Order: sequence, then structure tokens, then C-alpha cells
Amino acid sequence: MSTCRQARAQLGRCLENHPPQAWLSEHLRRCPACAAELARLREEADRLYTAAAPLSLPDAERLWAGIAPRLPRRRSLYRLLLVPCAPAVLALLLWHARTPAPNQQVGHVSHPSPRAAWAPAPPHAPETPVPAAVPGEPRAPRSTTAAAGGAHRTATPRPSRRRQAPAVRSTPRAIARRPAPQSEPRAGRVALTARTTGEQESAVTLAPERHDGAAAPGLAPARVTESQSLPAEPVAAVVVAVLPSTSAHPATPGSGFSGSAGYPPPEPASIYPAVPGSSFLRAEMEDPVSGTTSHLTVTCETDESGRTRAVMIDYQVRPAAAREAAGET
Amino acid sequence: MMEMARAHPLDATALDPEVELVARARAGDRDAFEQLFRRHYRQVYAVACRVLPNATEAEDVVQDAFVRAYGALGGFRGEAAFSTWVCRIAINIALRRARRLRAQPASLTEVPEGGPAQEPADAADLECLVEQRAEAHAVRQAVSGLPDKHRVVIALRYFEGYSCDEIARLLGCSVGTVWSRLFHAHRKLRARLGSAGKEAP
Repeated sequence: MSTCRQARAQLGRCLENHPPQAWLSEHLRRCPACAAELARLREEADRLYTAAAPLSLPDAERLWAGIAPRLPRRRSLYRLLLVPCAPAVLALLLWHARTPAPNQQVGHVSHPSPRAAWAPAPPHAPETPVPAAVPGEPRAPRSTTAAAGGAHRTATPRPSRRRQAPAVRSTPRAIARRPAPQSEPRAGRVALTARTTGEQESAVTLAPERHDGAAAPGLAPARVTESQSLPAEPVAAVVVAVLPSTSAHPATPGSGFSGSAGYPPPEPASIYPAVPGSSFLRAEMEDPVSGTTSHLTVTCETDESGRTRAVMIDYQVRPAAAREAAGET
Repeated sequence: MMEMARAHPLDATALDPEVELVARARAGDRDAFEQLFRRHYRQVYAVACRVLPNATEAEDVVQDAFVRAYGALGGFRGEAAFSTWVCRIAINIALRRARRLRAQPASLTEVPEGGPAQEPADAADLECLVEQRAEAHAVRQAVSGLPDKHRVVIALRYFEGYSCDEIARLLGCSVGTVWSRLFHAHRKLRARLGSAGKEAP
């Protein structure tokens, strides 16, 4: 009985014209029922082959006309550093996507991008006051200089809300000591692409265990120091894009498909120039619905020869309750 | 059926124009991506048609699949053929849509059929042709009623001519799983077509 069951589970192999295994050949020779089953399968296969009707293809021009406008305008040439982000961030990004940003730095004109929320000022640009968040209006870009690496910027007065907020230290030691924020499970990822001065592709794998969706409650700061994971040349810019979550469909090892296969493409990337040795990418976002504030900081460490020594990525989510406790409204 | 080119990451670009097209598309060259689309849209459309109930849905899937493929090209490592990769994206999208359309079960017969019309020579030929078409229609109806996982395997294997190895790559499962699904699909199909075989001893 069990042999017949095992044999029948392998009959598909015979339909493929694969040579049957020795035990299967022997079983088929001895068991007329299984041999008859194989014969029936072959008959059915023939019926199925003949039932296949040729399809009439749609017009390629028409199909392409529907595809071309939906393609992102620009793509990154470089591999991605992937950092998960919280649902609140995605909610905010979606909110921004529905709200056109007139002063958007990079991106589509026709498709307001969620990247507008991630647009910090360039490292040498003077800071601009941050207006209060008004639902329905885009937020202005903001940059911060309170932490490490901000010496090159001009300090300017900030709104009172910012002055009352505790400084977020992003030095390597501070990042290493900081506990992981206990935020809700993540629903998506922010893709960071390292662009080097020599335009070399940097083969970077940034803490892949962080891409486990709801398994981890929050995102701890990441510090990448493995030499094989770092670009040989200084990081000149970082490209930020938003990817949907792939936790429900992880990549199949060895299949040739990445984790993002089958998912919507990221928005065209925003490019932020890097200042090695400083926190060159600092962005803060506020979710108008939940009141959650998110901070993203990227720091590159280089040695005297200009070689990248480490890349640190810090992502913090502050719930509305914490802001209220700090006196922010 | 279409023989899929195997692209290996170490293949020289000059030896395989598709590798070059993929590289150019990855760098943002839309013309290269359009060429890739024109090469493979038939295959993707055929796969989508076998999963979804009608041609309009299948066309939507083709468009979605190529748009998503363009965005995800950075993650395409070239270990599988581009066509396999896009088809897998299309299958994922199509299966998701099929689940949404569960209320209206997929019918492979709704997909527009092409091919040259056969002119019967005489009445006997006409009778034979009608009989063949009726049987083909019945078989396709029976396949339409199978569960998704069985229907897809049968359609890819017999209607599209993929090998079990290729189906395994497209569905992201093992060849053994494909063989097993194929076997169970055959049994269900036989029951539906009213030719149930003898039970195993």
C-alpha cells in the first residue's frame, strides 16, 4: 500500500520522460495497478496537450503604452542598503504622496513623492525654520545639527518645539548604547543606496536579519563595519527610496529572485550628498494622524586615506506620548 | 514551446544580448526595457491567461508585472532567465488577483483563442472537428474548476509546455512538489471528466 502511494507520488516524474528510479521501475513492473495508473496519466496528458488552445495575443503597443508612463523616471545603479521602517513612517509617506510638495528637491513633477518627507537640507545649506505641521500642507525640509558632525553648518534659531526636545546623539558610542525603540511592527522598508565618489558599486549587506517584518519590535541602530560590506571609496551620496514590505514573501535562496521581486517598485530615489565623518543624512518626519515622530540619521566614518570604515544607520520612532511628556505639542 | 535562455551571472555580456539589455535597463535605459518587454510579453501574457479568468485581467497583470520588474531590476541577480523572473512576478500577481476574484471562478475558456481556423474538407471531417473541439472545451472547463495550485501546474505544464523544473522555478517550490501537484491535479481532473480509475491496492 505504502509502496503504491510512494510510487504514484513519483509518477509525474515518468510523465516528464525522466528515467524512473530503479525501485519505481521495479514497482511498475510488478504492480499492474500502478502501471495502469501511469498509462491513464499519459492518456490524460495527451488530452490536455490537445486541449491547449492557442491564445490571441494583445497588441504590444497598447500594452506598452500602459506600462511606459508607470515606469519610475530614474533608477539607482547601485545596490541597496535596506533598513526597515515603521508603519507610521509609511503612513506619513503615503500622506505626503497624496499632498504635492512645491519645494520638493528631487523627484517627479507629476507624481508627488513620499520622498518629500525625507528631504533634508544639503550639508552646507543654511537651516530653515520648520513650520508647524498643517494637515493638507507639505512639510518643509529640515535638518538638524545638534549631534555629531554638524560643525560645518551654521547654527540658526529654531522653533521652540525643537529647543525643548532632548538632543538625539548620533555618535557611534551613543548609537551603540541606545536601546531599540519599542515601536509597533514594521510594515515596510526604506532603501538606502551608497554611492561612492568613484561610482563603484558597493556590495553592501546591511543587517539582513532586520528585514523580518513583525518579528522584531523595533529597529536598533545598525553599524556596518565588515570590510567586504563597505565600499572601498568614500560614500559620496546616499539614495533614499521607499520599498514595500517583503516579509510575507521572503526571497528564495538560489532562485535568482530578490526579496523585492513581484512588488511595486520603489519611488525614484532622492539623492543626498554625503559628508564623510558626519551625519550627513538627517531627516525627521511627523505622522499627522498618530503624532509619531521618526528620525533617520546616517553617518559614514572614514580613515585618513578616505576609505570608508563604517556606516551607521540610526532610526528612531518617538510616539506621541513621549513628545507630550517632553512638553512638545 | 519557448525554450528559456539560461543566463548565468558570469556569462559574458557580449554572448547574450539579453544580459546586456537587462544591464542597460537596470541602469535606467527604457528602450532596453521596452525591448525586453517585446521579447517576453507573450510568455508573460500566456502565463497570466492560464491563471486568470479573462483577457482583460491578464493584460493588467502583464502591465503590473513589467512595471514591478522594472522597479525591482536592482535585485535581479541573473541566476535565472529574465523571462522566468518576470513570469514569476506575473504569477504572484495573477494568483493574488485570482484569490480576489474567487467569487467568479477562473474559466480558461473565456480567454480569447487564436490560431488559424481549420476548414473541414467534408462532413466527416467536420464531425470530427466538432467532436475534438467539444472535448477540448470540456477538458479546459474541468481544468478551470481545479484549485489554484493544481490549475496553475496543469496549465503551465500542458498548455504552456513548461517542464517541471521550470514550473518549480516559476512557483518557487521544489520539483517534487510540482510532481506531486501534477499527480493530484490529474486525479481530480479525472474525477471531473468522469473517468475515475481504479483505487490503489
